[in-house]
Amino acid sequence: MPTFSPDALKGKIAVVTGAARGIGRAAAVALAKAGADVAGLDICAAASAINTFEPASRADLDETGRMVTSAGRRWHPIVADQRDIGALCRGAQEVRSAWGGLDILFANAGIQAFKPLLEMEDADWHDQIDCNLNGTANAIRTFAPLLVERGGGRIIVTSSTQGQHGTLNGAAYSASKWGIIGLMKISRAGIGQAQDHGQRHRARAYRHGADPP
Amino acid sequence: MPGLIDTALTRHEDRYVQILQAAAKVPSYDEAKDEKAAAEGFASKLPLGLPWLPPEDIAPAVVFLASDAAALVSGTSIAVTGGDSANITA
Repeated sequence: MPTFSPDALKGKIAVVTGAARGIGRAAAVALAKAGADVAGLDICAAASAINTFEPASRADLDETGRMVTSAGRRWHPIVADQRDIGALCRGAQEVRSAWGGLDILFANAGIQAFKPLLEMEDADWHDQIDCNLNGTANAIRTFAPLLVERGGGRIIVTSSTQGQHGTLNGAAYSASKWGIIGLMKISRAGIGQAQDHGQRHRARAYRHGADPP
Repeated sequence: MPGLIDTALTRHEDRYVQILQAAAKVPSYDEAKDEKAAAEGFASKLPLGLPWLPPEDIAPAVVFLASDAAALVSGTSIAVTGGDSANITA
């Protein structure tokens, strides 16, 4: 794997969602090799009955943790469903308590399934929009306040080529990934404004969840 | 913004079928669920000739975006697609 200098992210703290395997795991390990401590969040269970792929497990997340610590960096696992904003609030509190703040959010978790548009059940649409788009928004709404507290940071989200073109039977996935691009574009402006109005933003972000960290 | 990545979400029969049927490469589920046929189909579609992209080759883009090297990169997408970007307009 191509690597960066181990000082590239020295002293930085990162949260990666969907960290149990795939792109999330690879990113968690690459961020650690570049010097960042990593908190890895994953549902570690089947996210939806519409999924036809094998769900991630707690053992998968622990393996990511082993790889991060092997790179010499700190690791903190968070088992949470990103549709549950209260659980994400608690995760943000854990990271803040353990490591004092956050510099990087990689909001990556997502699911995918296929069904012809006119044959979809409600779950075929809702579960992908909820996990991918609402879940990514939840991750930003709960973890980005820690970046605001720091006075800056990076939010990186995972869209898809299907966020820029349609794929047969992929309506919900495309819509969710297209939505993530829109969310990313507005986050830049919205969070910049939050740096001027930090407390108000935090109050809104945590309205549906646990106490603010 | 990745393309077809070598992850659990991609490497299963349903996914092979969906992609190959979308590309009108195969008529039936049984023909499409074959991993070797899927790999050949995908590789022929991708300019760099890979069937699916290793997640370890997506991760460096994340590190770049997280680093000071990307200090002036904001509000945009980076496509890591093995060349599939050449097949779409955006």
